Amino acid sequence: MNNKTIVLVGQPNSGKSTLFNVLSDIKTNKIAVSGTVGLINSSVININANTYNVIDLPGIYSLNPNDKSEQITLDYLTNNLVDLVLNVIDSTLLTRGLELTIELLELGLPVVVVLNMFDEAEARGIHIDIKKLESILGIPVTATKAKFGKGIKELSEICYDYIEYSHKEPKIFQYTHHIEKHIQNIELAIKLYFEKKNISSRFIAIKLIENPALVQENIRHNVADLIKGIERELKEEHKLECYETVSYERHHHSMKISEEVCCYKERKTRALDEKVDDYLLHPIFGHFFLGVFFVLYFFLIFVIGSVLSGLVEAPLVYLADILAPVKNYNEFLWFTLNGAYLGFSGIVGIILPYFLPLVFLTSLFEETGYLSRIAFLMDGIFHKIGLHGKSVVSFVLGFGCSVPAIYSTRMIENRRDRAIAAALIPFIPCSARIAVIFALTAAFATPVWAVIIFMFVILIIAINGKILSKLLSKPIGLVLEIPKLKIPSLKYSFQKTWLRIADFTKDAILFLVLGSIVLGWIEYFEVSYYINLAFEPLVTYLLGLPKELGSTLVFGFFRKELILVMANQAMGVENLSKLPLTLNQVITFIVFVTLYFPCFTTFVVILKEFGKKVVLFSSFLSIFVAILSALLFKFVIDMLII
Amino acid sequence: MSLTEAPIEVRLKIKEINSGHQSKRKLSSVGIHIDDIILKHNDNRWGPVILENLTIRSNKLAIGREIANKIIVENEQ
Repeated sequence: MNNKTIVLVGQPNSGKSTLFNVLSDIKTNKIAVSGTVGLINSSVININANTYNVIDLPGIYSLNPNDKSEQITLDYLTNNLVDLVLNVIDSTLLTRGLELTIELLELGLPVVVVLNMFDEAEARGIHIDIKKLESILGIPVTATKAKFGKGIKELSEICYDYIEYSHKEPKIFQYTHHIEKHIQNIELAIKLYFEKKNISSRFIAIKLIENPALVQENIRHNVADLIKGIERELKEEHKLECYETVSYERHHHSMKISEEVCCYKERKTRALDEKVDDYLLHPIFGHFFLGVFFVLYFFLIFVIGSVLSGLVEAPLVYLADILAPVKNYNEFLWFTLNGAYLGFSGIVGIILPYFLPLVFLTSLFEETGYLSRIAFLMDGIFHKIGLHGKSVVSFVLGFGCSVPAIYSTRMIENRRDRAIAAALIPFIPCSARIAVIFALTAAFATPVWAVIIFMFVILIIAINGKILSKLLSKPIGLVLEIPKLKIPSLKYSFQKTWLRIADFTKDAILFLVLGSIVLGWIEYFEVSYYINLAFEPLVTYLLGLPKELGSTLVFGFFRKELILVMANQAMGVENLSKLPLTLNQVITFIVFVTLYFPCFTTFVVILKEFGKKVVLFSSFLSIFVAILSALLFKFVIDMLII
Repeated sequence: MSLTEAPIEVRLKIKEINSGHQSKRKLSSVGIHIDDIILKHNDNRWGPVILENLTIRSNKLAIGREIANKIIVENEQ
């Protein structure tokens, strides 16, 4: 059955996703958006025995997108059949929110305005006359307190009535004469293209003046001369770019409406969250709180992760015992089943116990609004390596495991910064590589070597970041909204965690189990000899290591911690200290395995999140950097020993 | 004077925005326009500038120094 579609559109932090979760009762699916690689949340709701698709589009400040997620929203609105737009506005930021409302009305779609966080606005002394706003805009306006489920029933009724019975004619905002005449002229010239379209020709006419790049090539081409003339005229008249002139008019319209419908009561005292914010953003106290926050954050993840890991250990051992007899019955089957078991136990026993608290705590702190404060505090330092402060969270998570670190780059809006972060994260030693570094340096050298290697890795990340940021186009500088601090909802965070974990396990189980089965077959068919032969030029001739270490690199690609076990096995010794390696060889080996290739899971996650180009670039970059770094250490140690 | 040089906790009027087109668009979308009255909240030697738009009663905004240097303001008379 073809349900009618309701889409939620609003500026970031307007409470749009909270409203979506309340409306849909968290029964969410991810759907692919035509023309983009993004996935957005959708759900089916029931109002008065009628079912509707509800779609939560990424937050957008204006219909002139500045980043990928905003582009997804505009593409959806202009390319899909939409029966109703729920325009969610943070009631405390009515003036700015109305600028987007005016654009949505220009788009020609049926719109209902939802004044969310209405209670907060009242608490801040802002009273909004809803009836007056309704009559000015010519569309239904309703108030909600989505976080507490208030106003949802009324909203559902309005949606139902509006879709099924009455389509009010929304008010069309007239620009001043010198712009309006051009809009009408363009509309006449492009009318033919819009006979069967769901969006209005007026919207396209306005976009042709303020942002022609957003309009289809064929339409743009046909009115190119007309647009050039208008551009020249408006620039001469206003001494501003066309987009500024149009945007300022919308700004004035929304300010005028806001003045008419809002009544402000000045508060005598500052709100508690504003006072707390003074400390959180303070140049000294802010950094101190940030340090405490991160220590607490990782300590909690570590403690909860250890407890969960302990809980699943016994069932996993029991499962291994059940599989054990298969070895005597059919060896090939056992290697296959054991491979699958190792992949499964890797997810359930190692990744999930730490991923679960990580996702939950991240959901909680995302909701507080603290993330933008961290980005603000770290922006100066991260600028030195060509990134914005928003990337800091992913980098710190990388010390635990690269997989959640790569997933956390979703919080970075800008694709350029996300791609740089994804290329740099595999260089950060994850817990498995930290184990390799410590175990090998402890067996062969002093802890000073571990510290030297860590410092070197940080240097490598900084140099690569700097180079990548120079190579890629310069991003626009930081313009970051710092939303008001909020108390997070436990219920919502649990629901969000559940969704994210389900999404993660669905893909990870398939890839890790299949990968581990292949690993089992490599072991069964004893193909190590051929692997060593293939890697001999790199391992022996270039790095000066025993050729037997070649196969450990392949196992290390699947799981970094396997390097230790496989090195012993390959060289035929019982423990690491008996490996027939010199100090130079051990350090060269450590540096190479610390920096070479992301592990299989990270590889898959980068592929999924960023596509082929980024994963190939990241892999080649890490191999290149690993070879250069290992050779550098080999050369320097040789010199020192001589 | 540029926004980075401007005094803190004083009502300032935006006179010019001389940054690139993309930054201007981004500033406009978060509600920063010429003639708006703003308050600057911090005076650090490095790191972003925090401001609040009093004209539209906005949330706090962090503006990178590169862009802040190109926003020209004056004390509101």
